[in-house]
Amino acid sequence: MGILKQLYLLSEHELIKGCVEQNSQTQRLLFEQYAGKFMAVCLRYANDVMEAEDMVQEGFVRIFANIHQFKHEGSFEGWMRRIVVNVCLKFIQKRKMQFKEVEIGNANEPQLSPYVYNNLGARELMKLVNGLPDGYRTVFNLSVIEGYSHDEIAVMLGIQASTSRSQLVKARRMLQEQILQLEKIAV
Amino acid sequence: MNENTFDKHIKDNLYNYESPVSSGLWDRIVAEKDKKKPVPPPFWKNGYLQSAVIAVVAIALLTSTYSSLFKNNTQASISTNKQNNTVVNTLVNVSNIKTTGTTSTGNKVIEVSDNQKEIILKPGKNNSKTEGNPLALISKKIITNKKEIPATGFIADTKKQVLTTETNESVTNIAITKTDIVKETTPTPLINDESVAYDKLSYFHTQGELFLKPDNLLTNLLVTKQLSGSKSSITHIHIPDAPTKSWFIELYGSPDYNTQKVVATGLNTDYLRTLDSTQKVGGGFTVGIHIAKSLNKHLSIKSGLQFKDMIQEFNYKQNVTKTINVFSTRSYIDNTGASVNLTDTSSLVQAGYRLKKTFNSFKSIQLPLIASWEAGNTKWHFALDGGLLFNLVTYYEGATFDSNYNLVPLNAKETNGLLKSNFSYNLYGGVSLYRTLGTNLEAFAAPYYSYALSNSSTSTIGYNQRFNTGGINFGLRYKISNSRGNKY
Repeated sequence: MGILKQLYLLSEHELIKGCVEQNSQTQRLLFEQYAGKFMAVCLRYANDVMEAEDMVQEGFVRIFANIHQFKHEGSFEGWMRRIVVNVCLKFIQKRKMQFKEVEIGNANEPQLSPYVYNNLGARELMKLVNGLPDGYRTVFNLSVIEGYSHDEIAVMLGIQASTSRSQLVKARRMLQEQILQLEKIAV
Repeated sequence: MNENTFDKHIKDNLYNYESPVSSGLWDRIVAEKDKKKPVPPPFWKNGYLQSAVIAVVAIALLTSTYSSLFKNNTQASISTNKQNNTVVNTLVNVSNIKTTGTTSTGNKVIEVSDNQKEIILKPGKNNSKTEGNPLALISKKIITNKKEIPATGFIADTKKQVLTTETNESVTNIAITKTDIVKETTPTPLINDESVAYDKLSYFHTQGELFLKPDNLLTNLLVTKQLSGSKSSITHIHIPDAPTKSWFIELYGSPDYNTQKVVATGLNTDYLRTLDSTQKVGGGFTVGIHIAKSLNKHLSIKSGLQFKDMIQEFNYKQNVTKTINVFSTRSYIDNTGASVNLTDTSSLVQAGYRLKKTFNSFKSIQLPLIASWEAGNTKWHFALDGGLLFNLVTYYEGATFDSNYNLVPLNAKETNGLLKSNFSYNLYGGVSLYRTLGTNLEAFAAPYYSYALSNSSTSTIGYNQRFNTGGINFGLRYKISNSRGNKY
């Protein structure tokens, strides 16, 4: 039976139960279901594909090791995603990421209409986000995409909440600058 | 530009975005998973096994202690008998007993050793004729097959009386010759005044009735004999059975030492580390009341209510700002020669923090359900206690951090249910040592350990917090049941 077909037949509860029992086949099903999504998450924090794969690998190992602690309160995917993000942050901490101030050409907020960025698809946005400096990118990912508050980010990264705020503002500005550049090139 | 629209557009596109994964990634995960398979902790680090090992060692130690105590008591009893020149020799090793037959009057004959026999006399018409007054049971002779054989005897309990004889004859029929009471060579005046208790043996009598402790049959026998030989006006002797189905009330209090165990369930490891470094549990106390009921000679159950107070030290940094207002006055003489006063006002704000220590209080009302196995002698006995301790309700007072490191009051309601105020339970184990103080009163000391089986924190807090407690209960046990044994 194909993996996709098996996935249809398994409820989330059965999937979790099988993984708690360390059933290899169920673990494989879980991996197949979420690997692509978590790979995209890790790619946004990693420097390259190899590092992202290491992050995904470590994330799944941790998920399988701790799945018995999941208490069926809240989203299972959200629980796994927090583990994966946490793994990404561990990798980043090993890199000793610096939160540097980067010079941005235009100090003022660029005037960017939704019309401009609405045309950008996920792949282009992914490239743009990955082009941000490490510090900006991490804060931007945690704040905008994962939805953590600045206080939470401050604790996770060991920085001040004000630093997190300023990094986000600058990350957003830099992204918008790049989108404007893209628009000019297109024109 | 609307930041929210921009952010939302990016989140909508990237949150569920999927990227291709290399085909070998699963194999790498399997290899890594197998490498990191959890190794079971050594047994001395496993909580349950640790408790089990401690329990087994404690039971072994207590059993061996009790065995040696029992042995010493037996020897002491025999030597007492010899000293009083009695011929009571009825300590029967149960393992040696085998039934050899029944007499025609329904009395059971037991062969104790090669040539020693015990005859257990059933109360009944046949026996009553020959036995006469049970108090005069101590006979010198019994007749078996028309031969008179010396024998000794005692009252075992309400349903049987035992004679012991040394003979090689097969005992098929018994007639008992009522003879004089064995006279003690140096009779001790056990009771001089019928209204006064004989406290040396913890026996007492009143209004012509004698109450005996059940624990030592040989000592009871001595008292019975001496009473029967004296001119006491005792009319009834109560030889109680084992203290079955008696009711007790226990009042106790304990100084406690508490420990806390915090396990992360989410990813807030930094928060937990901070929390752990700021919190420290230690002392406390417990007071309570038990109602106990003995089910048989060794087994009893108890329950009641107890109040437990636990103190938790909480240290934290409190941000403080101080404003200092400075007023300075100066005077000078201007060029016209007039004196001029000037007043300057300035203010200075100092920001910093101060370390603050508070003590959080956890007050609980608990319901214990405990089973005890007891053994010992008249003066001392011990019990192994085991059971469950149900936390009915807990009140919290004090402060803690929330996950944003803000100081919040430690109250089950105000912290939005971070800590439980309702039902949780603990495993209870302990040893009690009892000392008889009077007829119905005993003092006890009972070291115990209470191991939490459920969390005191709710699942929303992101970590599991449990409190374990060790202590020594000191208290008094009073027998409240009215049963005083059997009347003869």
